[in-house]
Amino acid sequence: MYKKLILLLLLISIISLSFAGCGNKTTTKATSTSAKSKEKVKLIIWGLNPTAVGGGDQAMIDAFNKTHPNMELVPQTPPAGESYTTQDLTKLLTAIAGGTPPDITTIDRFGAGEYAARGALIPLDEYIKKYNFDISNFYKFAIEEASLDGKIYVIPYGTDDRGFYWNKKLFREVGLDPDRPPQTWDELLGYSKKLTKTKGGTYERIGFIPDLGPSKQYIYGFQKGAKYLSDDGKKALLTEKPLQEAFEFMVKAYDIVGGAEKVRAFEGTFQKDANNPFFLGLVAMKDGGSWELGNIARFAPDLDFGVSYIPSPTGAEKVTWAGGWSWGIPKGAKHPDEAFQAIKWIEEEGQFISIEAQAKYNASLGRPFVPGYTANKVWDQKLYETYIPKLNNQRLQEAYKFFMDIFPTAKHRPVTPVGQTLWDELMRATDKAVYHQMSVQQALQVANENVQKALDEFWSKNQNK
Amino acid sequence: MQGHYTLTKHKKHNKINRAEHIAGYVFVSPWLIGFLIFTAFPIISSIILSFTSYDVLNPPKFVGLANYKTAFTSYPLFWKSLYNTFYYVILSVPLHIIIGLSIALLLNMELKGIAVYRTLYYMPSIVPMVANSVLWMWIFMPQVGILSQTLKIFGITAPNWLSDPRWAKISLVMMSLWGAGSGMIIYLAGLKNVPRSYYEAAEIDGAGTITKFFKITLPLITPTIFFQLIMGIIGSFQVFTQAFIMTSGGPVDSTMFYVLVLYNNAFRYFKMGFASALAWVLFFIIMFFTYLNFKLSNRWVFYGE
Repeated sequence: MYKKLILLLLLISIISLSFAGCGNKTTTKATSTSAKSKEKVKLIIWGLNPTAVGGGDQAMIDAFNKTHPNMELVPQTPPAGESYTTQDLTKLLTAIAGGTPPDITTIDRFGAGEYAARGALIPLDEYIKKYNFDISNFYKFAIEEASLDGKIYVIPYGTDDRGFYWNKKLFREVGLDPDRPPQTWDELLGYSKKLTKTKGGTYERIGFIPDLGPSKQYIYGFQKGAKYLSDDGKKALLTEKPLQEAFEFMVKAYDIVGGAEKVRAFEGTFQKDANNPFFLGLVAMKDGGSWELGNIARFAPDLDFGVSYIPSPTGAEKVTWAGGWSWGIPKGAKHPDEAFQAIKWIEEEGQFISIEAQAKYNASLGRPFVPGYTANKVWDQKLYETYIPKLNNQRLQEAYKFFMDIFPTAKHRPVTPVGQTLWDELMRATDKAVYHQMSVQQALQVANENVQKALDEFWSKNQNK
Repeated sequence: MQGHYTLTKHKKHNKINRAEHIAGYVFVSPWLIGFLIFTAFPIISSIILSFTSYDVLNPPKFVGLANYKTAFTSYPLFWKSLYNTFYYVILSVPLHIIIGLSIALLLNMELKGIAVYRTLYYMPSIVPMVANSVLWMWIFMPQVGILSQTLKIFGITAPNWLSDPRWAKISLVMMSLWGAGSGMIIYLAGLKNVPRSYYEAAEIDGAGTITKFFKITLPLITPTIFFQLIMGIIGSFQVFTQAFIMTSGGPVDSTMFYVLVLYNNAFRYFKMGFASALAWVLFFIIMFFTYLNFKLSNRWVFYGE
């Protein structure tokens, strides 16, 4: 009898506790808005790392707190996270669901659409207008990637694009013109074969692995003009011919140098940073990100390389694909208005303070410094003029300019509520095709079905959105 | 009079009893509350969520048995991942028992410095799984990795381990055997419990080492083996970390284990309801095998008289 009673009491207390948790949220919200004008507003931000040596974020945070007497930027490591800059969206997901999100969060623009579609991010158009935030100089693709149904949900922060890197020294070694990269897919395959070197059945070097770098199948799809999704975003179009041809090219690129299984095994031996396979000459050509210039500057300043557009079907399709980071305000953030002011400041001033601190740190170590790109053409020009002339490395200077100049040709991954499913299914289809477990057509058929299922499920639940 | 006396005694006893009860519950309440909030509540929620469509960010919507139906009828990865998981369980559980027991037998000898060996064999099982995974990615490196290099000395061409769809699961089983030491410690305890007098009696009767093992040691440690079997099955069905870190399910889904699929659905595709349903299906699978093991255990597990 008592046992039951006590158990019951415990249960009741737990249930009431959980309700009390819900109640608290609303009351704190009410008080915070009324007391806003007096107290210093603490803005919790996820995505700045004050502990990274030479990262520059601490300098930015200090400057913000100094110039904003009524606000304080509080960088927080997400619960249980080891790092301040996390791409682990599960933490953001649970924080938003639990009603304790940060005021500002970093988010990969690729994932922003999924969050926005589920109502987890606050649309920012109203704030952009209120605070006169000038978005006209942001690259078109960056704003597109940050928007859903005509509303802007995140502010792009930092961007990157992709290109073709080739090792001129190895070109010379096999008798290829070091100053002329391959232009077409066919030419690329020919070069790849020529540059691949084996010894006793194992590789010493591979010419080109189609998805070694960050471009994956998307770059080839973009070159072919593949659409992936219908314009209204409700229909998967993965079985269309352009994408099939892109996949067929990848299969061919694997087969010509020995097949996916052998190539992936060789890939399994690759290391990072100073031992990057491209720096070591283990791969002669690769698709690479603009951010890799920083690594070249640091680890392989003497590398004789060139960058260009990734070779395309006929050589005429000059496109790149771009992505990057952004700042967003999660639903349930306590101080959205101040959060936007902070984002605006970080974009317009903060990031330059951070970059300047990074440059100083690198200079103090005698290292060359290559800044990232900002997603805004005026700001990029400013960075280019400030930092690039100081680089005493012509190859890096040219490469930096190349990656900056091709931003207008950039495409981005479709903004969709099922972005992760789309990505995973395309990767799965790539694997199935290059390992010859399925024909390209079959693999894409399966991917298409799965993506369509995910789309149908989302739209059946969110018809009115 | 008599009746009255017993009544008061009974009452008094009851009072003490009640006080003790309350004190008892107060003492266990930290655990009890923790259990109710952090274990019981999530378990019950997940049952409820498994009948809903829930993306975490919006309120759940009741969908009846749709999640279960999807899993069984129109989600090929469900069957694929079940196959992978069974493959892993069937290969790894018996091997774990055999290797764990073999090491335990070796380390059950009276040798100088045996404690050092026991420590060495136990050590791998205290390495955190993430560190373990990173370490084994190096060991499994094709061509240049220590494993391939060692096999090369014996003239064996090693497979491409993790990048070969036919070898990836086997590689992960091999890696898990590195942690067989955790079982070894339990077998050792079991072996220590076998009375020495049995061996002495057997020796007098002229039994050799092998006879002694099969007639005395093995029957007497069957409860330990049984325990390891149950725990091994429960643990292996939930294999996740290695695949998550080392292969992310690849190549070509060959290491796409059940819990990895569950995780992807929950945290990558925003399908908490479906993931909860998957979790409950796994729960019943594990329950079934545990039940089966208990049923079959009276045929081979020997608990003494």
